[in-house]
Amino acid sequence: MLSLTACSQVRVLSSVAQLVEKLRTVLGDRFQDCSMRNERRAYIRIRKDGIRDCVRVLFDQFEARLSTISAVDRNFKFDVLYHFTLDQEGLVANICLSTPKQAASIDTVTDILPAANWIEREIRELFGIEFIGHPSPEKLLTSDDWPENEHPLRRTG
Amino acid sequence: MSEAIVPIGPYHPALKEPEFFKIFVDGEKVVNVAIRLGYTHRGIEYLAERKTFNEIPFLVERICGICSNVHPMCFCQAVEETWGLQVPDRAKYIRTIVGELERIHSHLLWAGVAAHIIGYDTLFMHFWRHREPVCELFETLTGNRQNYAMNCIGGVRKDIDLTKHEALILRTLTQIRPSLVRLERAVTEDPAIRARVEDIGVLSKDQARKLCVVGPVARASGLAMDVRKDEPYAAYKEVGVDTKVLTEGDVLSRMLVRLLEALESIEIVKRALDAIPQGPIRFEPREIVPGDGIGKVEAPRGEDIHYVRSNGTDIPERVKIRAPSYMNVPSIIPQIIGSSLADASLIIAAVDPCFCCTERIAVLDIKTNRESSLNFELLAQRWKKRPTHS
Repeated sequence: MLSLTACSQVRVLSSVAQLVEKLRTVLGDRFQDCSMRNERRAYIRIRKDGIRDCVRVLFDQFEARLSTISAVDRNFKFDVLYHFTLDQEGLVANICLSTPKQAASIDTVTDILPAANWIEREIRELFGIEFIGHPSPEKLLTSDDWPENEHPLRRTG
Repeated sequence: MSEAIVPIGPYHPALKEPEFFKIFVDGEKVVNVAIRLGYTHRGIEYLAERKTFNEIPFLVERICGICSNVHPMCFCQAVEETWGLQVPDRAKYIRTIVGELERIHSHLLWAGVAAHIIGYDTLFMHFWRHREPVCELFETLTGNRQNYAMNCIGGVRKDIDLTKHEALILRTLTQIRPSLVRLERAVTEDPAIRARVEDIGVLSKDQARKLCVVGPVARASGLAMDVRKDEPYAAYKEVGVDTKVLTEGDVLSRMLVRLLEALESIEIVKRALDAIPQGPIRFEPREIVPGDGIGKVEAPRGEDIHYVRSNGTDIPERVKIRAPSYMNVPSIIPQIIGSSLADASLIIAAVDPCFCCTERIAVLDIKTNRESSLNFELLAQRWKKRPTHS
């Protein structure tokens, strides 16, 4: 894993530095850490209660585009990665957070960023993570007779 | 006031893919739309967590029959990033050439479908006539018209023998280029076509940004985003891309963006053929490194993104796939509200949804609460019979 200073692309680096600085200010101790995998991939770890403020900063101030959200089942917890793309810089800022598997829940960001609507519905359906405050938490992919508490990508046992 | 619902979908068994649009109408005017998907949810992500890394390119190649090069390329890039694997230069150029040829055939396919929907079948046949040589070219180069199976982790599976095939590629491209220019002119200058596509299904720049749309839909609404340019993969840094951006955001703009892109793809393939180096086509992976990585590819429909997490075994812990239409289909909602029912099929088709079908349509008249089902053909006829005063 590269440190921030080891990256070559100055422009990308300065926008990552700005982004980290801004998120640190807005999130306070909800911001955890940031690392660069290479000059195009930043991984920013936050506490899950910081996601709404984080999305506001990215969307309003950095014109980031939400590419998608990936949930990963890690047995006792879920890792959730919000892949934001900064098109001008060619950078993907991955906002990573975790939620315990029991009563897994994250605040919705659909009201801030409508693009998250289907993505959150899909994750709710496939993993069983609740998105608190989602305007229409209905089924997206599974058939009407699919049981409500069966989540195809959630590992059991 | 009572409300009518027009169900469009969910499937046509032979031709296109399923999706269901419930369109609420007041007379001829669309007042709302509800989209239901999942009719062909095949659990690809679930399957990918049960197959080895080498098997997955074959699996994800089958996500889509039109842009079948995109998903394996995207997956391989994600794995290469995860494992820190280099790809030989020649393989990068081959990926670029196959990717751009695919864009040409995909955009021509879409343009043909759009021409058919607006009731201009002559144009439909012209578009598809010029798509055919590209598919034949694929058959010569890769062995298949679709599902080329060219990508593997660390490079490509098969070399393109340019001493044998370069002349054929150039001949095919030279042959279709003037026709595409002519067809592009037909679209912009023919008043009958313009009447059907201009100012129809407008998506503003602000809406496009909020819905995070990608590809030609974003570029037709003034968002200058193109993965090939913003985050150059394969050989795009070397061959360069001239991104086409229009600002009107209507169906006409989306049509033009795609046609201009097809023309640009011809130039990209020519530049790639000029610059392609000799050398190996694949570096074998030495070890499976735990970690995660992201692959991004500009598919004909927009940004495709794969997220892969490896735990050091030969089976990935997670493969997340997000195809471009997933972001583009919700943008149909703001486009369609307020439009005429007759334009609904065209607006839906204009985002080039890769499900690819909206064959059956249900119309619910909000005045009588009567629901009826019709197919695309009947809907098209309805447009011809629409009252002129509306």
